[in-house]
Amino acid sequence: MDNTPVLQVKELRTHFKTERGKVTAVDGVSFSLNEGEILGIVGESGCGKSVTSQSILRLFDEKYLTAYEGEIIFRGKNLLKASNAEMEKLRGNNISMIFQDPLSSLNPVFTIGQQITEAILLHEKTTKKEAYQKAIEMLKLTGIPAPEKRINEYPHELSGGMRQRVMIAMALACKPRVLIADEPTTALDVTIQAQILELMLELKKETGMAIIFITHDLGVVAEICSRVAVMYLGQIVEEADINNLFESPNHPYTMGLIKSIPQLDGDRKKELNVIPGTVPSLNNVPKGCRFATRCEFADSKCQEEMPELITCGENRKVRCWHYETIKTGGENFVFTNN
Amino acid sequence: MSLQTIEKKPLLEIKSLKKYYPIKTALGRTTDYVQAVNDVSFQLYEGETYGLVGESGCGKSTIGRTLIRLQQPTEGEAIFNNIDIFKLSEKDFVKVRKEFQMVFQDPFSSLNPRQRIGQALEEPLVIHKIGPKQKRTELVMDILQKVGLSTDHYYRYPHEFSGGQRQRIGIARALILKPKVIICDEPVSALDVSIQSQIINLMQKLQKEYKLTYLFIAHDISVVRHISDRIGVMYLGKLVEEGSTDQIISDPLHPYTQALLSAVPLPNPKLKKERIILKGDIPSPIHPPSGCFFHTRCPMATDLCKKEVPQRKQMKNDHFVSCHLYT
Repeated sequence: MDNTPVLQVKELRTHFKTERGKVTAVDGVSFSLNEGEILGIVGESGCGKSVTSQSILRLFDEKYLTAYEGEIIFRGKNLLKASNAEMEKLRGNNISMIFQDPLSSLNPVFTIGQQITEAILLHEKTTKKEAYQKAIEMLKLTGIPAPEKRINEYPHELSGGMRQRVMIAMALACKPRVLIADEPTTALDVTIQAQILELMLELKKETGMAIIFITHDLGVVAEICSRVAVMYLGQIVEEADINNLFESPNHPYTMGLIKSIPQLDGDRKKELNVIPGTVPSLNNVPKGCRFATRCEFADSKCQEEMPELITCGENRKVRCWHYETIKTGGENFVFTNN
Repeated sequence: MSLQTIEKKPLLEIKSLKKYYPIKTALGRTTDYVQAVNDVSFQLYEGETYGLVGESGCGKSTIGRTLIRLQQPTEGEAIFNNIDIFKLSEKDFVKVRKEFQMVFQDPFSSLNPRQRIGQALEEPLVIHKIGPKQKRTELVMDILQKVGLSTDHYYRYPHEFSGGQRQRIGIARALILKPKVIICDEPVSALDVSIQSQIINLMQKLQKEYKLTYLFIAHDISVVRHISDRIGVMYLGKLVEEGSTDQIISDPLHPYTQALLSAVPLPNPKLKKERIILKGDIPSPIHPPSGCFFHTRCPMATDLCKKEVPQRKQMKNDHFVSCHLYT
């Protein structure tokens, strides 16, 4: 794996205008995506993982709703400063995206062939005929049986797994350097999910693209990612290589998450570990550490001051005041301000 | 648990349940049937959790819905207290209905947005003519606390609650009539991981307290394994394998169960296990394949599988499988 970043996100902030005032859905997110790696972004609903990914392609309505801050560097260029025309050239060409629900991202009144060729014709100088041939090739590559026939079908004629394959075919038609996959397998059944994950790994190997994989499912992350960023309430709280993250999580939130999933080989019927409470609203973000309201280790410093995302070892970052004491103290860690 | 229950009479016995949905032309002529549930039999024992797993469209939710007669079964029996509840008239069923409650996947869509939570929880009591107003309010306050909400939630509206809290309300409403059986249709699928574990713990606590019997319908095998005593695996309207949780998880017999288990992504990057990746999609339940319904995707299918429907066969104590490999 290469360690040159193909995409860098620096201090990204995405603000939305709402009826109740300004909401900052993503607050100071920085990460870099290396050549040919799969970076997982995990977190629960409302943590800003999808907003982060859509901000990279600037998919939100900037005229009325959204304001961005920070930098997104792709090929030495800040995408947040790029013109609309430049962004249009980039989307689907250099950076592609696939979404959770393929049925709502495909146009119901065009055949899948028309939709894939449209993407190709938009970015490449080819004839319609060549584009059509290429679309068939892409469908074949994603493992759709009888692509010559399928290409003339409409989205409703395909199953969920097939539609997701079509989305992948469309996203990869122009050989992007970066693929952003936003919960691509969440709406699928497990046996179909296994097919799609395998397909993505294969295509990554073939094309050498880098993938940002957004999901809430830690199992899927463990399956396919090489590095993970964990998000909570608009911020990255921990970043680590996949093995380190699952073996020795540093942030209390990550620890809680990993412990609260029922495992296929865990103790049955035992009470599951619980992270108490719920995620606070974005209208009412805690002043100090954002996780402090639910953290069993939180003290007065956590309530008052926000910790920075600091480096804590090779390729590792964490946003926590007490991660060292929590780790070394283990279970016996005693708290003064509890 | 399972050893004790074998001797006992089942609380609810489902026999050869079938549910076919007619496909009609514009003129109302029936041209075909969707075979949603196809000849399914199983028993529920008192105090146990029976997990029903399978992928979308396998008919697991339909079974739940026919049991409380939200849908009429096409054929079959469901014996409860020596009576077939499918044969009861609407009026007689209402009395039995008290013993069967359901928790749905999305509690928000099953709550009236303009009704206060207290009223919503009281409604079942009104319908079953329980107590004067004051007694009902007391019962509701009591149940709110039991499911981890507070009494001042009584006057709130559904939109003021988070997903996890709404599911608690869903459970409270199922629980308020003190039923024997709760049918849980994907009760935690819509929830985030950290909330999911809260709800699972709550359900286990309540089961002990009220001696509830759960029919737990879900697609997430890790969750089903955690909470269930016995598991039934469904594919295309049929129950293909059934056994105790340990048997199903550690020694799955049916090729579909094996593939399903191997497809579950494990939250442990060090475990790179051998995957059985099934080819193709689930066939349509309108014209299911001949013979064994699974033969179109089965890596071990033979000619026999294409021709003959496999019979249900008992393997070890209480472990049943329908597959030609074991005949």
